[in-house]
Amino acid sequence: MPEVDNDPELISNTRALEVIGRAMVYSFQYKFELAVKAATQMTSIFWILFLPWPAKLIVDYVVLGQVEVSSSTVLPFFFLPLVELLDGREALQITFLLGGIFLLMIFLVGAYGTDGAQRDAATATLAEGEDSATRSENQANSMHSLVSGFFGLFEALWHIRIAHRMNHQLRSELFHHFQAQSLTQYSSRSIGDVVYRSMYDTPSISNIVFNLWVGPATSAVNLTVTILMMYLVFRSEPVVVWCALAIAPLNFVMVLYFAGLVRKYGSFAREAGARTTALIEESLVNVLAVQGLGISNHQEAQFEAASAESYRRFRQLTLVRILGSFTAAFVGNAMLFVAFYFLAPSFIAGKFAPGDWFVIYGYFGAIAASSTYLGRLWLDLQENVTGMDRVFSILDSPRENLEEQDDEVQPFRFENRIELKKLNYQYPDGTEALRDIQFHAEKGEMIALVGPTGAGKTTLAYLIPGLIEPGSGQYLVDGQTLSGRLLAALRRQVAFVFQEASLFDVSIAENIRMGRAEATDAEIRRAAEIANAASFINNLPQGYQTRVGRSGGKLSVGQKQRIAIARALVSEKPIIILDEPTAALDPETERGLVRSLNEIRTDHLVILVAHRLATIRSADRIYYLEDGQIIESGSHQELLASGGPYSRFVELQTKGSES
Amino acid sequence: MSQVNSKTLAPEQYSEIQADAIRFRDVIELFLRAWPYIQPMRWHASAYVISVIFLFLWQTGTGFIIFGLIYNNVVLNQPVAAISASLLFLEPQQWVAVEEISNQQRLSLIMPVLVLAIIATGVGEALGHVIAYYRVWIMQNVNQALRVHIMSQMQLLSMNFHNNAKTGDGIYRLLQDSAMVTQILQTLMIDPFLRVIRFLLGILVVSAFSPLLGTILLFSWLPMLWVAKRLSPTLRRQFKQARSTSANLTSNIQESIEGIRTVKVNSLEGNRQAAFEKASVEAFSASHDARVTLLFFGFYIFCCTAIPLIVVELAAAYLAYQGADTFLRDLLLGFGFAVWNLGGQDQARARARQAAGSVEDLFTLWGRAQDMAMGLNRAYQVLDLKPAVEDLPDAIPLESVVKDVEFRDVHFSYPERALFDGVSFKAPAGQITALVGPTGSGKSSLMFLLLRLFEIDQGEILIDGTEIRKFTKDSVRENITLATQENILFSTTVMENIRYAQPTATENEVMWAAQVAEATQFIEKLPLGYQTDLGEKAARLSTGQRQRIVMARALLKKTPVLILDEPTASLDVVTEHRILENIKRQLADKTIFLITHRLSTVRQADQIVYLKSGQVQEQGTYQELANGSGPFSRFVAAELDEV
Repeated sequence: MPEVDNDPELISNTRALEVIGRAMVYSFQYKFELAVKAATQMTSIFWILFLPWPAKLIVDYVVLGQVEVSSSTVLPFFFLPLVELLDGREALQITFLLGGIFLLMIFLVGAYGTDGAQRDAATATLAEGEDSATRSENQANSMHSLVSGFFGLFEALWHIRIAHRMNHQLRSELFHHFQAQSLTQYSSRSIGDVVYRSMYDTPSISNIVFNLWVGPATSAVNLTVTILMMYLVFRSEPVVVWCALAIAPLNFVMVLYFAGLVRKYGSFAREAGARTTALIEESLVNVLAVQGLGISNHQEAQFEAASAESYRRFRQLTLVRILGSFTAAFVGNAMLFVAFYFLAPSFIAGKFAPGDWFVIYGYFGAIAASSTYLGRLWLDLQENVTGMDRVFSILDSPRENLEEQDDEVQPFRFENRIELKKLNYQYPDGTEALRDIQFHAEKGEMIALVGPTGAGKTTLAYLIPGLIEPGSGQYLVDGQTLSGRLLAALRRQVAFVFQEASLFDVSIAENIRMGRAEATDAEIRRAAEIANAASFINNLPQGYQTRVGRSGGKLSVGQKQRIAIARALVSEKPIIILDEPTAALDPETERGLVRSLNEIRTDHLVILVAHRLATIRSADRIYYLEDGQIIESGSHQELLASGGPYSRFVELQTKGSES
Repeated sequence: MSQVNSKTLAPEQYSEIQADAIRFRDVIELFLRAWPYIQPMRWHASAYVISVIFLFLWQTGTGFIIFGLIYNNVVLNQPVAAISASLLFLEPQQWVAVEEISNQQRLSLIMPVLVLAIIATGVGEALGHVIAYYRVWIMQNVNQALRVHIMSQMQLLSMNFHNNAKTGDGIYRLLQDSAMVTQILQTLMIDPFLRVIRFLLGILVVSAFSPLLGTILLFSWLPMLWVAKRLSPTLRRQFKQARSTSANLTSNIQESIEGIRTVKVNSLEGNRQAAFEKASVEAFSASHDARVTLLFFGFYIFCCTAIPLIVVELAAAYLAYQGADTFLRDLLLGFGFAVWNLGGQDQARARARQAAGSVEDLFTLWGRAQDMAMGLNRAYQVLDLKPAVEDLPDAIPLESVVKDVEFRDVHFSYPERALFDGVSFKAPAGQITALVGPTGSGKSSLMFLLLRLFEIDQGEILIDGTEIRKFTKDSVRENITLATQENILFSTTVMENIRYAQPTATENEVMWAAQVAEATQFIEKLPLGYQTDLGEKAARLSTGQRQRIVMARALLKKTPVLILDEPTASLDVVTEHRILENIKRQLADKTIFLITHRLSTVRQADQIVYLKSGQVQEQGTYQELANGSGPFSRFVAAELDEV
C-alpha cells in the first residue's frame, strides 16, 4: 500500500538536510524577492550597529560634560561627523541636538537605542495556542523587520508578501497532488490528516526559507561586523574580542545536541495534532451514526484523549526547546562575565572612558542575541523540517499516471467499443481482486454487472473508467491499447454515479452543473426530468436553488442518488456507469429510472452494477461475477435458459419475493 | 409548547458576530466567560503569577544592585551604596561614607560583583525557563477544557445544525478559535497586571528622582488611547474576516477530499483546485489586511511612547550634568543617588524606559486582544447555540424493559419542507415492523424522530405508553440502535468498529454479532482478520461488506429497539435472507423497525406500515396488504411486474 508514513524517529540528519535542501531549491523561484528582503535586513543591521552609541553620547557629552578622557577607544568612521558636530558645544545645546537626532531616527528606523522601549521591531504576531497547529497561523503570516520606522515597515510588508506567495503556492501544489492521487491512497489517510498537512504543515516552507536565507546571512553579517567593530574599538584588550568571538561557536555546539530531539518531538507533536484533527472531522461528519448509536460520550472521550495527547506531545517539544534556549542563555551570559572580569581592570586603570562600558555591554548584548538567535533558528528549523517532511512525502508519493502531463492530450472521443482481455487487478497490498476478465461493451448497449456481495462488481466498474489502474492484461478502447494519456482522456468520457452519492454543499442546480460547467438551466432541468428528480426538486421551496447541506444531508439517499444521475446525464459523456443506482429507490421510482436509462442508452454506453432484477432484466448483456471472475455472460433470457449460476441467482430472488 | 419554542428560539444557527458594535465592555465580558475554563487551574495560575512576579522582582532587584556596583564602583570610583555594601560584607566606613573609593578597592570588587552576577543570572534564567514550561502546561489544560466543552456541545446539537454546518468550520473553531482562551490569562490578566505594576513602579522611581519627569510619563498614554479607540473596530472586523476565510479554506479542503470520487469521475479537479486557490488567496489577503493594520498600529504606539521617553532621558542626562539634587535624596541616598550622577541617571532612564515600555506593551496587547476576542467569539458561538432537542427539566431515565413503540398523530417538517402530517401506528415488542413507502416519504426521518435527533412539531411518540420527551434523550438513545443507511465506518480496526458503540463487549460477543450479520466469512479473509484497520473511507471493503459491519455494530448493542435502515440494499438475496433469519432467531424479543424497498425483505416482517404523503396509508401483515387493493398492493405489483 503506498501509504505515506514517516516514522518520526527516522528523520535522520541526512534526511533533514535533504528536506532543507529541497526547501532551498523550492525558494529559488523567489530569488529576487528574497534578495530584496535579505538586502533590506542587512541594511537594518547597520542601523542597529549605530544603536549602542547614543547611550555613550548621552553619558560622555551630557552627563559627564564632555570629559576629555585619555580614551583608547577608536571611534568608528560613521560616527566621526556626529562627534565633530557635538564637540565644543554647550551641554544644553547638545541635549537639544541629540533630541533632534533621536526624533529623526525614530521616523526613519523606529529606534534610537538598544532597549526595548527605545527600539521598535516591525512585527505583527498574534496570540497563538499551545500546539503546533495554532502556531502555524503566525508562521504562515510571518512579517518581520529588526527595525521599524519607514524603513522597517517597508521591509515587514515585503516580508509578508513573500511569505504569503510562497505558502499559497506550496499549499496549492499540495492540494493539487492530493487530488491527483489515486483513490486507493485515500483508504488509509484520513481527511483530518489532509487538512492538517495542507493548512498547518505547509507554512513550514516560508519559515525554513527565511530561517535559512535571511536569518543566518544577516546574523552572520551582524556578528562579523559587530566583532569587527569591537576589534577596532577594543583591540587594546583582545580578550574582550576573543570572548565575543567565542559566543557563537560555543552556543552552536551546545544547541546541536538538541536539534535531533526537537525533530523527533516535533514529528510526534504534528502527528498527534493530525490525529486530533482527524477525530474532530470524523465526529462531525459521522454525527448521524454517533447520535444514532448513542455514543456521543464515547466520541467525546476519544476526542479528549486525542487532544490531551497532542498537548502532551507539544509539551515534550517545549521542554526540549526550553532546555536548548537555557543552554544558549548560559553561554551568552558566561562570556559576558568573562569579558567583564578581564575588562574591569582596564576601566579602573582609566584606559577606557566610562561611557565605553555601555558600548561593550550593548555589543555583547547584540552578539549574544545574534548567536542565541542562530541557535534557536537551528532548533526552529528542525521543527519545521518535520512539517516540511510531511509535505514533501505527499509530493513524492505516486500520482496516478493518467494525470495529464500537459494540456495537449489528444482530442479523444469514445466512439464505439471497450474491450478488456485477460485483465487482472490486485489491490495495492497484493490481494487479488479481479482475475482473467474478458469483457466488451459497445455504445448503444446497456451492460449489467451482477453477482454476490464482494464478487468484484464495483472494482470492475472502477476499472473501466480508470479510477483504478489495471494490472496485467489488455485494455482496448476503440481498438487502441490504453496508455496513461489515453486513460486520462477516457476518464473524461465517463460519467460515474456512485452507490453512495456525494453532493457538495451548493445548490442543486450547481451540483448538477458539476457534470458540465457550461450546461444551461434548461439542460439541467431536462437532465433532472430524465433522472426522475424534477418532481421532488420542484416541491422544494427554493427549487433548484436549494442548498443541499453538508454532503447533501438535507436530502434522502434516494433523492441524492437521482441528483447524481442528473449530474451524469448533463455531462453528455458517452459512457455512463451506475453503481447500484436503484438500491435506495422504491419500485415505482426504480421503474421510472430504468425507463430513462433505456431512453438514453441509444447514444450512450450504459454500464450498471445492480442486484435488483427489475433493473438488470432490461440489460443487453449481463456479466455474472463471483470471486473476482466472470462466470458467465449473456442476455437475461440466454442466461436463464442456460441454467447456470445466474439463473439460480434469479430464482432465489424471485422466490424471495413470491414464495 | 416546547415544540413551538424549539422552532423559533433555537434555529441552531450562528448569529452574526457584530465586529463593529463591540464595545470595550463586551470584550471584557467575552473574557469573563473564559473563567470557567481557567477556574480549575486557578491555583496553578496563581502560583504561576506569583513566580512571574517573584522573577520580575528578582531581576529588577539584582539588576539594580549589580549594575549599580558595575557603573558606580567599578567603572567609576564612587562610594558603594549601603545595600550593596552590606550584601558584600563591606565595611561602611571605608566603602560607603567616603568621597570616593580607591582603585585598589575597585579592583577588589570585581570578583564579588561577578559572583553576585552569576548567582543572580543563574537563578533568574533557570526560574524563567521553568516558568515558561509551567505556563505551557497550564494553558494547555485551559484550552483542553474549552475544546472538550465545544466538542460535547457539537455532539448535543441536532441534525439540523449538522446538516447546515461545515465540517472545516467546526475544525477551525475547535482548534484555532478555541486556542485564544489560553491567551486570556496571559494577555488580559497576567501581562496587563504586570505591565501596570511595572508602569507604576517605574513612575514611582522616576518621580523619586524628579516628579516633573514622572508626570510626563504618567500621561504619555493619552494619545495612544485615542488611536486605540479609533482603530479597534477596524482591527476586529479584519480579524474576524481573517478567521472566517481561513475556516472556509479548511472546509474547502475537507469537502474536496470527502467527495474525491465525485471530483475524479467528473474531472472536477480543475474546478476544485480553482476553488481552493480562491479560498486560499482570500484567507491570505484577509490575514494580510489585518496584520498590516496591526503593524501600523504598533508603530504609532511606539512613536507615542518614544517621544516622551526621549524628553525624559535627555532631561535626566542634563540634570546629571548639572549634578542637581534628586527629589527624594534621603531615600535614594542608600543607593548612592543623592545627587544626579552617572549611575543615578542610568537608573532613572532605565525606569523611565520600563514605564514607557509597559504602556507600549499594554496597547500592543490591546491590539492583539481584538483578534482574540474575535476568535473566542467564534468559539463561544458554538456554545451559545441552544440545542433544539433538550431534556425537559423533570425528564427521567428510560429503564430498559421490553417495549412497544407508538406514534400518535406525529407532525413534523424540516425547515425546507413539510414531512409528516399526522402519522399514527404502533410497533409491538417481539415483532418486526417494516416501514415501506416511496423514496422521500420520510421513513428514515420518522426513525430520527424516535431517536430524538429532531424534535417533533405536534403529536406524541410513546414508549411503553410514556411520551418519549418525558425521558432523558440520552437514555432513549441508549435503548435504541440505528443501523444507518449510509455505511459509516470509523478509522480503526474491524473489531473496534463493531464494538464502537459497546466498548466493553468481549471478542466473543463481537464474533457473535458478526455471525448474525453474516460477516464472519469475509472478515476472516481480510489480511489481519478482525484486526484489519479500515482507514477512514474503508475503500477496501465492498459496500455490502461495510453494510454488514455496520449491521454487526448495531446488533451487538442488543438494545430493546433496533432500527435497520435499508440494511440489505447492497446485499444479494441469499445473504439478506440469512441475516434476517438470524435476527429473528437471536433477537426474538426486540422491537425491530425495518426500512426497505425490497419485497423479499418486506415479506419477513410481522407487520407492514405503508407511508406516503406524510401519513400512514395502510397497515397490516404482508398477506393482508398484498392481497388487498390498497397502495401497498400496487407497490407489490410494481415490483413483481418486472420479474
